[in-house]
Amino acid sequence: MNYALAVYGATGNSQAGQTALSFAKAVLASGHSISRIFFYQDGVQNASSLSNPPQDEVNLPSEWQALVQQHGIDAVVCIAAALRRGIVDAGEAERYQLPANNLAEGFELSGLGQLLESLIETDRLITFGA
Amino acid sequence: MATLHTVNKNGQPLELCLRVVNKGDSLLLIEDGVYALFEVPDILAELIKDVSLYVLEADVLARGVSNRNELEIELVDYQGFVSLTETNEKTLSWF
Repeated sequence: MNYALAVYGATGNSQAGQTALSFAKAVLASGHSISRIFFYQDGVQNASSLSNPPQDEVNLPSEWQALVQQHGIDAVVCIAAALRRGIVDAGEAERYQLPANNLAEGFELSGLGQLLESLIETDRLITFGA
Repeated sequence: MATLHTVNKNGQPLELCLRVVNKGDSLLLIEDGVYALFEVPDILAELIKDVSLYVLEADVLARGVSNRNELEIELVDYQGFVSLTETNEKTLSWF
């Protein structure tokens, strides 16, 4: 089956990202595919290239990055949610004349329509709330 | 059409879920939702007559709430979680 995941929780104050990551690995290990992971609301923090937790803790953005690149998964970050929380790619940084950008490689900013498309086109959409 | 409900905390998410859960559905407690084993065991004992109840093993172990053997609730790992999403056509997440 083809899965899509939606992640609503931030890395620092919610377990959503960790649960979703473990679930994603189990989905792939079960022989299913994941076409898209959509990061929404506080979940956009999962896409920050500047996240730097203590060394004995999981670095979720790095883990996501490795997973989506290895399996060719579309990692979409809601652009409106990201901009208001300071997650920007080079293009948005230039547009709004911001001093830096921090969207990790492997992720892309896009709209909520991508979440709706996943709901319609995949067999399963599993949401991980904050 | 059977539905899998995931609940990740007690209080309103669990209450709202209990309002709409149908006979034959499955309910999986995850994250802080596993505390329902201690906080509302009587509700779970009643619920289990109509609904298949599961708890995510990793979250149970992380919180030390594993000694509720008197309730017939199945521990599942992440593979089991995936299996539940296979057999249920829809998954509703309460959070």
